[in-house]
Amino acid sequence: MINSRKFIQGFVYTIIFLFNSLLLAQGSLTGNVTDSRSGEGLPGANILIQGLGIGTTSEVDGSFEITNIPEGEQSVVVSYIGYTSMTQSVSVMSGETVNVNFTLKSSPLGLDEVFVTGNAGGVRKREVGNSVGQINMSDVDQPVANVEELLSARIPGLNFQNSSGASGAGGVIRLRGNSSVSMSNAPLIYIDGIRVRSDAYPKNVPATGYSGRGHNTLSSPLNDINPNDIERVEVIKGAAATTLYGTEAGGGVIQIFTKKGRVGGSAKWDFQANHGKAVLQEYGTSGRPYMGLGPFVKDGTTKNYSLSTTGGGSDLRYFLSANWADNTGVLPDSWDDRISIRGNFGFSPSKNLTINYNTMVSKSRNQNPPQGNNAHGLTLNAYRGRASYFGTAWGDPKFKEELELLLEYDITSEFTRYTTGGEMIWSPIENFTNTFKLGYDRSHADHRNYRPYGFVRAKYGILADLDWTGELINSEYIGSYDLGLGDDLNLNFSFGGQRTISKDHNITAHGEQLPPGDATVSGAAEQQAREYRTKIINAGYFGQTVVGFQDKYFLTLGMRLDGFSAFGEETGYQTLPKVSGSYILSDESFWPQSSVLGTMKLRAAWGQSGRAPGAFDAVRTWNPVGWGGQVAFFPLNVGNQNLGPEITTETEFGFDATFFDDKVSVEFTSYNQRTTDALFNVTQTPSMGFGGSQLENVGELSNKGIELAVQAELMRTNSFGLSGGFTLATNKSEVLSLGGAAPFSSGGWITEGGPIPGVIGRHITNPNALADPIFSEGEGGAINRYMYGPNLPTDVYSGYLELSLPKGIKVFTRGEFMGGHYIPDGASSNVARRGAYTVCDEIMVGGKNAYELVSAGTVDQLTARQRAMCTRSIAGGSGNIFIYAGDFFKLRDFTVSVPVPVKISGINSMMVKFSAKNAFRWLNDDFPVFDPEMVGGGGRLTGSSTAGYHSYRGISEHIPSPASYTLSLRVSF
Amino acid sequence: MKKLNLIVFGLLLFGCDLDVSNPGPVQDTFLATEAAQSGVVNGTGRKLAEAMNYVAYTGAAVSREITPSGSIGSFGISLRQQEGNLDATETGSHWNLASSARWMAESGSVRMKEVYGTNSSSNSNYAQILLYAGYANRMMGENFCCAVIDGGSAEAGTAYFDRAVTNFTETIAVAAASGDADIATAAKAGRASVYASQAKWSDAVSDANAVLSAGGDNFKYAIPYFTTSTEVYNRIYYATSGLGPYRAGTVWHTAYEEYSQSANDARVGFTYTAKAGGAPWTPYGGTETAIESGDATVNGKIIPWLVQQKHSSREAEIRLSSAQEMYLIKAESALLTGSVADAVTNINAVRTLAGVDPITAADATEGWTMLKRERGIELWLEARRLGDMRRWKATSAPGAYHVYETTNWEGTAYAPAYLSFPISQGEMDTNPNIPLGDGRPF
Repeated sequence: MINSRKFIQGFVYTIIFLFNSLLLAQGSLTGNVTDSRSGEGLPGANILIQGLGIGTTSEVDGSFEITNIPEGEQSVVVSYIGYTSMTQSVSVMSGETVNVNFTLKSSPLGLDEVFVTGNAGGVRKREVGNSVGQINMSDVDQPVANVEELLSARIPGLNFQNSSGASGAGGVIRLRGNSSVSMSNAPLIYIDGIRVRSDAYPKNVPATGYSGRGHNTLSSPLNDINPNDIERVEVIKGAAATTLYGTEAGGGVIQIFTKKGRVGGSAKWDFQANHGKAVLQEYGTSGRPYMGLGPFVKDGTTKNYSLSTTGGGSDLRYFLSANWADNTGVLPDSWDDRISIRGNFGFSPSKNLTINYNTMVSKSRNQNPPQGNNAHGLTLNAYRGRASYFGTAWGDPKFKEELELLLEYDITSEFTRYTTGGEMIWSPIENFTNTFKLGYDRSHADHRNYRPYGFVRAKYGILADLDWTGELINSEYIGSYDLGLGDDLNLNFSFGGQRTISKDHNITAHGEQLPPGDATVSGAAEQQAREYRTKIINAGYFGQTVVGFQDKYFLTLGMRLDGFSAFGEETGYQTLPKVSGSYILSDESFWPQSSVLGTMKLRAAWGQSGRAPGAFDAVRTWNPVGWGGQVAFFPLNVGNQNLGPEITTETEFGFDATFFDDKVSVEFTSYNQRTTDALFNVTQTPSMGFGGSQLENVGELSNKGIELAVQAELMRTNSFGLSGGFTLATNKSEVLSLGGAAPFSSGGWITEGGPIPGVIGRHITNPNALADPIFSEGEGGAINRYMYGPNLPTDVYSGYLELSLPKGIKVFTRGEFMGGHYIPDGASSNVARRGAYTVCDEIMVGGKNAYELVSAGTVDQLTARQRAMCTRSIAGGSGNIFIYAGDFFKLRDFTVSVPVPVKISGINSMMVKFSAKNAFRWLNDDFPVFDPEMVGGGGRLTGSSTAGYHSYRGISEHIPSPASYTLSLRVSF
Repeated sequence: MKKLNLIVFGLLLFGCDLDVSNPGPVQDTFLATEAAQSGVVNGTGRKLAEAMNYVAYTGAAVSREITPSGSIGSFGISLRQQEGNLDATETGSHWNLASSARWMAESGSVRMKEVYGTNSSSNSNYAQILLYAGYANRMMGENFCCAVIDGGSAEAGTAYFDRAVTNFTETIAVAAASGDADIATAAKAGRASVYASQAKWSDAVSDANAVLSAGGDNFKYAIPYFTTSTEVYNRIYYATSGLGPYRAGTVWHTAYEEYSQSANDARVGFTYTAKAGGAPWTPYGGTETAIESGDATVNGKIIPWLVQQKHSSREAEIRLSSAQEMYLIKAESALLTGSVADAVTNINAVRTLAGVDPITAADATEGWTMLKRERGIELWLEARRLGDMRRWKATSAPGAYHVYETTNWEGTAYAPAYLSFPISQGEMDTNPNIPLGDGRPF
């Protein structure tokens, strides 16, 4: 009989022996990853022992160390975005450390990097036939306050415009301008493959009454995302690339990839703290630099803290982060804050199965004083002064005192965001991959719009609460099979299906006649409720084939069969095809091997996408409006059983190239979009009863332009470097046909031959003459329908310079110009029509101001424009003349980065940055006052609960985005 | 593997399902049921009320029932309208709401006739919607230059009167059969005023007498307003009172300012609020007082804010017909037949009901002056003044207007370019049968 105690001892000794043997059979790998040209270390490069799931990322100086590597020959792969990956074999000896250095060669075009967006499964950039936009956070050295700021002025064709300086206000993003008149031109947003909300959050206004009774700015769901969580952003801009996303993707797609866990090594931590201030620059006249708002303007503050950690092993990888932002605005009662938490996890339960699961939760809040075209608003009454709803002139001691009463108006919002989703990647056999995705994005807004009892403009008080929830539930399957046919020919077949359910509902409670104190709607003497619910399903099937020959000729064929619940009964599934090709010309043997010419890729793409109508647009419906406590029906929607999507067909071609030893990279694209069956809100004939408008597939639109991006390394020595670049994007949109519909307003003016949308008004032909104004004739001979031009910028240029100094110090600056468009100035028009325009007050001739001169009839020394804008009556007066060429330049960014040479155990790096944003601006001379980027959430703000489509931008009674100055500290440990 | 295949297959199949039923809007087919008809009637009534809101308010400013006090945006009076110009580009809401009210009433009555079949001839809902059709047509005939029916060509605005007579006449028959005496009386009252506009005075007087006989001196038929949403607030109240922000109209410098205080006539009453340091106002026969201003300074002058009290709350009704109007129809008919005494008798019948002193008239001209004033006072802010002024202008009726109806407060002459609303720009843009222009082909 065996002694059990001895057996156990023997077993333990054996285990220990084997374990020690295993330990003894392991070695380590150390080394450096450096740039081949500069010799500088590359921080954050991925070093992976192939097949073992062991790896790490390089430190700030490029050094790395991997321990516990099994003895034997190992294959080490080093990759870094923007560089060609490198694989090297090393012999690992038991108990020894091998030192291997990797020198990576810059690859500005990144042709072998995988690009995911717009393709069924990832493909290498060399295979992609359309232009691709990409932002790698490793290239972004500047502190970034939010995602919209990250996207601004970095990718040609991606145009971001600020809307207002209000706290928490979002802006407007367009990819290649507008290609739709009536539907959203906002791009679809995906995060890690999961579709999330694209349109802005609903406005904070009461459900009943004037729809501008709030602060009239919109918050962007994009800004719920902590920019420090982002690894990279991929952008595809038009229908040629977005076909596989179906009939809602005509406005392009932006996909954000967040950071993932890393393989090997100990957990890495990053901490970042930003502190700064916001300063509202003057935008008025010399006498009233803030157009009367001066007594209320103050400096704002910004605080932002982020902490993240990443780590893991071959089986489980994680990235966790938390972010807190706390800002105050430049007006009283204006502030916003945000807390967000993210957890990204990757599992590999078996060799052929990987599961990624990402979750983000954020909560943000903001408050602003009433702004915009709001009679109860601070800005409106300040700008109008003596023509305000108080009638008290600027400078009067009562002016500030009276307007302060408006600050009793509380407008607060809370947004809660929960985005979760995952993908399961399963490869049952070699070259065959199945990807299943499930995602859920829930946005919730809790608005409170409160004028308390005794409020100066609603003496019995009004309280409006809005509880809104938007949900996106999406599921997707992609199968992908690679088939190699010999050395030269490679085929990839992908297929799958996608289904997205969009749900919106909001419930509003409205109370009037409130009790004193802090009231709720329940305490109101008069109470009302509203409820809206919509659900839309979009489902499609797609297939794609990529044919590659000799790894330099590529042809992609794809198609999506798309169904949509909002189509009319007579409209079935839509077929959306695409085809694209790319050709790596520089891989040909005849391509000269010179230092001047480098890589050259030619590409061309053609494809279709579109936009779908809204939930109720196809059906003839009546609106149950109620009357005196009884059911009552109003005509709502004429209905159109043949209503279908508008289809945008896009052709684009271009090239990606490098020159001068890859020191200069150039990307050029020309695109041409044609939208057929364009959805127009066709105005119905009022005498036929239904009135309003009905969506009809009647129009035809054109939208074309070019995009150019150039980056260059201008100089580099051991201590100094200078690099720079610029982007150029043009856009020309045109309404080719109204399809028999009358010209109409979609906010801006839609007419045949006009832009999308156009700005019309009265145009003075002799503005500077000392004479009475003469007005141009516009459409149909009407002087109030003179077409000025497009409302959206037609020319957008941006440029940057980065100076590298000794000790790792960098100075970065980026500017942006937008032009070719026209901006109507409603704020000036509104006050001029009331005879209280500050500019007219300050035009002095012979001791009299322009109003006094007009009143006295002694206008000889006034120009035609001055006479028009300072005359209150309509005939020859100020109506519809405040339209300016919108050209402007702003210094978007000036940043100095200084590494702190700390030698503290555990701290890998420390960086201090100072950044100034929008610190300088230049405006077209047409702009006497105000700013082209003070339009609220977009010119067109519809309804009480929806955000509208922002198709039109006009200056309203807002404030421009302030300049911001930020000091940032980043510590990695 | 099999399970995964099943999942994929299931997902693909599941993706085919695009059926969605969204709550909220009512499908058109539902309106062809009896259960929906009360909702159809109420919707028509609400639309008529909303149209009255706009027509009465803007018409009041142009006819100087109120003085525009500055606000030109929401709930305001545009600069053109302040100058007396009803422009096609600025009266879309008026045209759209009025046209929709007429269409809803007329098309609703056709649908209702099909739904109720032969029972329609004695159905209360049918009687009610016909009555709304009559009043919608009367409102358009009195206030709009021209008629456009269901996307057709433009006709003279009197076409609305013809339709109104048809509507009212059928209402009378149906209401009699359904036992809705009040509706029948209201239809006769509406028809009386339409006959007056058509210069069919004997018919008008006949109907007026029938109304007074059936409804007595207390008869009135009004459209109600409610506090449930801004659209169904009494717009004149909300735009001119202190509850809304606008203060867009004032009784100051109207014919009714001086009269109200001298006669102490509550029909055109107003209030004001004293405010230290405010603009001075000199009330009739009183001393200068500082009161709250209107919303804005107009050409350097702060407008005194005298708040009309006829519509004293958001839910204040607007009369469509009344016994008082019937007396005034009889008075006008009497003046047209040369019977000044009868005219004065009928005017004084109205004044007696109001509890104010009777008037006298030495001759026909004075009788006309009194009639014009009395209709202004009695039908103040009820969307009737423009139609009256247009009728009197067309027939060159004698008698004078108050000086404040013909001069601006700056002292300059005031004469509205038109005493009617035009066809809207939207109708011209979308209706191929209407030529582009100023919206006044007639």
